Amino acid sequence: MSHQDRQLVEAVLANAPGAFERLVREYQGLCWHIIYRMVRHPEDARELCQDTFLRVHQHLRQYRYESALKSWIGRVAYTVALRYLERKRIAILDLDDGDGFDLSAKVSDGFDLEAAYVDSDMAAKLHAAIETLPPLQRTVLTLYHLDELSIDDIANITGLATGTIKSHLFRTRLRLREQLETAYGVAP
Amino acid sequence: MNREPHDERMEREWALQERAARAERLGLDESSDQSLQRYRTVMRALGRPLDENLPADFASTVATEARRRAAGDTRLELYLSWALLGALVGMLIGVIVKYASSWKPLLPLALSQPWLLALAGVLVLLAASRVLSIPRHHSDEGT
Repeated sequence: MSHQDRQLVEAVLANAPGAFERLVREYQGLCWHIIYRMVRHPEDARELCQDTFLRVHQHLRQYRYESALKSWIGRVAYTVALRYLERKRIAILDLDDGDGFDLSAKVSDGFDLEAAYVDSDMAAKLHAAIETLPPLQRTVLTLYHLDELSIDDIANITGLATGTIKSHLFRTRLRLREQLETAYGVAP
Repeated sequence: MNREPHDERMEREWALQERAARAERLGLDESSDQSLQRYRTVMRALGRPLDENLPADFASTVATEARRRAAGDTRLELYLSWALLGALVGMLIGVIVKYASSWKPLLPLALSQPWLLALAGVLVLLAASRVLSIPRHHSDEGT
């Protein structure tokens, strides 16, 4: 919990002019990354982001400064996205994704990776492969690499153990590397 | 990373992944290690911004909506407070009308003890101040 966060929370609770808008601007990127990565539907994700911040506004008095504000807001966003996926009956994890080390043969969701590779460059190919990952793996990767959150922060947001987060990161990155190698005919 | 039988291999692979992630974050020079380079390509893709984003006015729109909702909540509580006060006053009048005749003999006694009147006055004021007080809600005033 940084001093700036505490000041921001106290300003919002004291109805300081523009304080809540500042809070939203500060954390809307994190909220968007979590929800859009989970939900993948832009319009729904925007509505869920708004819903997240309205909940934050309504319940900010319950924030006890025990964790970083970004973790608390991230947790609210994650819960909102999770409920959406439950309503839509979308699994957040690939049930076939075991703990095995050898993942080279796996391609999720029946996505035709080879076909997607034809007219695009390497980054676009990887981007397409990332999009085919299950919601939880996509979100964990984005929080770690794009938002540069620590594994502990991601564990706080998702409510998962740090070992589970590490395992998701490890297996998904390995899978992506192997898919890249398969696409370019490189021996691992 | 603690599962047999691949523990050592997995730890090495994890370390390689983390080296690649760090090299990408710091923008280090390319390495001759092909495995590391392939992971760096993966990490680069993972660090790319998302294609879709929130609209530019998202923060101000949400702040306005939050303020509107908070004001709506306050109004509702105010209406409910007044409704409760009205019900209490009605019940009080009913009780007075019903039992006024039986209280008449006690009136001279109450008037002869000023502290009793003072106590009753304080109790009435306290009850009225609680009923009339409006709960304060935080709302964003700045947009």
